Amino acid sequence: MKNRLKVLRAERNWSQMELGMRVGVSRQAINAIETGKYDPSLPLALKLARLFDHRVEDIFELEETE
Amino acid sequence: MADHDRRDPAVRLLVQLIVSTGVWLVTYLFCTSRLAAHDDPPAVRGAIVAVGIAGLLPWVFLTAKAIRGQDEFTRQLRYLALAIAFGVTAVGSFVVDFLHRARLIGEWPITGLWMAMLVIWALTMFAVSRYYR
Repeated sequence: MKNRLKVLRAERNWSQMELGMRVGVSRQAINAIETGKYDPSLPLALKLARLFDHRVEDIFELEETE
Repeated sequence: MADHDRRDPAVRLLVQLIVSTGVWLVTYLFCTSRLAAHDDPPAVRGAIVAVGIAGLLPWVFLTAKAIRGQDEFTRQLRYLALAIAFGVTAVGSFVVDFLHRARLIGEWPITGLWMAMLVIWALTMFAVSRYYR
């Protein structure tokens, strides 16, 4: 799954740690999501969407092969 | 308010984990040495076994609590490490069993099984954390 988390985070000048604290996960979790190694749960995806004031599908997108 | 009430919950849990590890080691060493060195009646040996198992339970409970208290990503890493450790131990014990039946190796002590699983779990936790770092 592709995502725009890194871009949205950079727009706000937040570190991975800061973003993690805002949604209640570790820096490693944010890093793993940004690098595509981990797909967040639906509650976490919704929290991220609410935080960035976007819809979930504006942040996360299925790849062609998925 | 007492100092221990003000402590960070994570620190408190860590202290509890360290204490429970100590309790486990002490009860394990006491019970195994007692069982090896004394020819107690079955009721006493049964009681010693119960004490030995009871000594492990706080550690198991607190370890589970520690894992459940993590964020979803870290929790997944811990579960993944547990699954790998279980699989490796299961396959390893299967292989050892066959080698023993083929009389290629001597008898493998059952004690080695849970110890091996703990070591493999620790190693897989480290490896999985590094992979997702």
